[in-house]
Amino acid sequence: MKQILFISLLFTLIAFLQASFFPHFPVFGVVPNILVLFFVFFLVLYRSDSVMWFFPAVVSGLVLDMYSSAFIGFWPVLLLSFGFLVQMVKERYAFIR
Amino acid sequence: MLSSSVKKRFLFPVILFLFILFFNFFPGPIRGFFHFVFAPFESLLWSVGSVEKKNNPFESENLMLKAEIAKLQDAKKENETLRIALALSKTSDFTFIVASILGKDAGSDTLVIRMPEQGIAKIGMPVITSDKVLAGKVSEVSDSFAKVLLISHPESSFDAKIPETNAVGLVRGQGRYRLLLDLVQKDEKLSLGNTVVTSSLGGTFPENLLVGTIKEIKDLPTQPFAQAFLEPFGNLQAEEFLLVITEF
Repeated sequence: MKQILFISLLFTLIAFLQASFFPHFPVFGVVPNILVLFFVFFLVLYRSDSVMWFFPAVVSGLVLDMYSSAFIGFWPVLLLSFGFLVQMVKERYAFIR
Repeated sequence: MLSSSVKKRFLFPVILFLFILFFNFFPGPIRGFFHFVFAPFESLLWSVGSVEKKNNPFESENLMLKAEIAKLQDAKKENETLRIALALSKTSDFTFIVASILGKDAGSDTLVIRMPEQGIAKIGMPVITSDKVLAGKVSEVSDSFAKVLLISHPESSFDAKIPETNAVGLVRGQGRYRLLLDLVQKDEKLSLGNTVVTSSLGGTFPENLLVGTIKEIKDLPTQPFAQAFLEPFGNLQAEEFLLVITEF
């Protein structure tokens, strides 16, 4: 439980940085989505049989949604989709759990 | 009867779906409340970012020290902006209010700004920098927060002109801070470095606000109109405050 809270807080902080800090540093005119990169990186390294990544994905996604013009839930759904995709690749092709 | 494992499996998506559905019934107040709570933190992060942007040689400085510098610079910048705003209000024929930038949408060219008071901002109000450079227009309002659709957003388009040649055209946002001047008559002469400003034709923005300079001309014989890519004026990432024009 503590671990979930810590990881969720970490991802929430990254979401805030993504919206209010990283826009100052575009790479070739594009601001890379560090949150998505971190999230995928975290999923690749983390045990995929744990559902620990659900909560951080939803919370940090909702933070990004607060800055977005899209419907609320767009970023959580996108992050959860990335999560399932990474899990599928890990289990089917890399045989990692 | 459903087994407990099936129940658990479906419980999370169902709760998430209901949660998101509930949020989408009141998106404005929810976003407004969020920015109301986190505005000081968002403002601080944005200030630290603008200081970082301006002082790249000092990258290795302690973050706490930077935050302190950012606070001081924030006050100084606010002072300077208000002075410029005061001077601008004496010389310009429009009225405006100063708003601080809180953040940027990760997926599009949209900024979140904080207004000094509730209920001032209205959808469609033009937003400029203190140097009279056009930034965009208000696209969404909630309490004392507003979203600014930048002129580089793909949904943004407005009439513009080149004062040197009197050529008129339509500036379209291309996303990622890129602008395209389109629908320019073929007989109009476009040159690199020409300044593009807003025109009063569309009525969306006041006349003669700076937009950008021509950096690349596309005048293909197969196309009925000439086009040009623009280099936007100013640097929005280094700005901490924007001016919302309330009347023009």
